[in-house]
Amino acid sequence: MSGAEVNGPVMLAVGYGLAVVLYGGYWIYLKQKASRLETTLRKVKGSGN
Amino acid sequence: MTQQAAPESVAEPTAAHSSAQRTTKWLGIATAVAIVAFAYASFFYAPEDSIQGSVQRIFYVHVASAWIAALAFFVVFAGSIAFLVSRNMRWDAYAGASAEVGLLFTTVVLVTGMLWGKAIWGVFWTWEPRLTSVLVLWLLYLAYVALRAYVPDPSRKARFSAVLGIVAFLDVPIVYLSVKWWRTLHPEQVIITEQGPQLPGMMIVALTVGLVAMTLVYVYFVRLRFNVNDLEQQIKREVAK
Repeated sequence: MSGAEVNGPVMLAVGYGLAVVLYGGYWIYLKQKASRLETTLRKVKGSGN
Repeated sequence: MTQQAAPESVAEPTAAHSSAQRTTKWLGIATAVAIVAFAYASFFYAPEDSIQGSVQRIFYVHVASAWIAALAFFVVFAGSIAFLVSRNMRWDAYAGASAEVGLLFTTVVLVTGMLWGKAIWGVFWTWEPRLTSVLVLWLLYLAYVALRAYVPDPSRKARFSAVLGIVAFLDVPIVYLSVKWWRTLHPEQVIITEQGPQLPGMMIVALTVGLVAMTLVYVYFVRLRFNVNDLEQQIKREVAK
C-alpha cells in the first residue's frame, strides 16, 4: 500500500481545511478591523476633535 | 442597515460611497457562490486521479492559489513602478494591499504543497528548486509587509516598499521557470505546455472554476483591505484637525 493510499484523504482534508481557516481567518480579521475602525472614527468625530 | 438613519455615520453618505459599498457587498456574494462552485468542482465534478488517488484534488486549490499569488505580486510590481514614476500614494496603497493578500495566497500554496508532498513523496519538505524559490518568495513578501508595518513615515515607507516590491518580483519568473531550468522533484507544468494542457477536460474545468473563484477572493480581499486603509486615513485626518 502506497503512502498516498494511507495519507491521501487525511492530507486532502487537512489541506482544504487549512485553506479555509487561512482565507476565512483573514476575511474575519479584515471585517473586525474595519468594524473597530468605524467605531473609533465615530468616537473621534463625536468628540469634535 | 439604513445609512440615512445614522446621524453620525462614518463617512458622508455620498452616492459614490454607497455605490462602492454595494459593489463590495455584491462582490462578496459572487465570491461566496464561486467558492461553493469550486468546492463542488474539486470534490465531486473532477474525476479521481488513477495514480495519486484523492490527494490529487489538492492540486485545484494549490495551483489556483499559486496563479493568483503571482497576479497579486505583479500588481505589487506594477503599482511600485507607477508610484516611483508618479509619486501618487494611491499606487502605493494598491501595492500594499495586493502584497498582503498575495502573501496569504502564497501561504496557502506552501501549506497545501507540503501536505501533498507528505502524501506523495513521504516528506513535508525537501530543498528542491521549486519549493525553495517559493519559500524565498514568501519570505520576500513577508519582509515587504513587515517593512510597511514598521516604517512610520508614509513617504519613506512608500519609497522603500516600492523598491522592495520591484526587486521581490524578480523571484516570480524564477519560481515559474524553476521546473524547466532544473531537474526537480516537483511535477512539471501540465497546463501551459508546448503540446497544450496535459490534463483531462473535467480537471481543466475544475481548475478553471478554481481560478475564477480565487480571482474573486483576491479582488474582494483587496477591496476590504482598501476599506481598512481608507478608515485609517480618515481617523488620522480627524485627529489632525
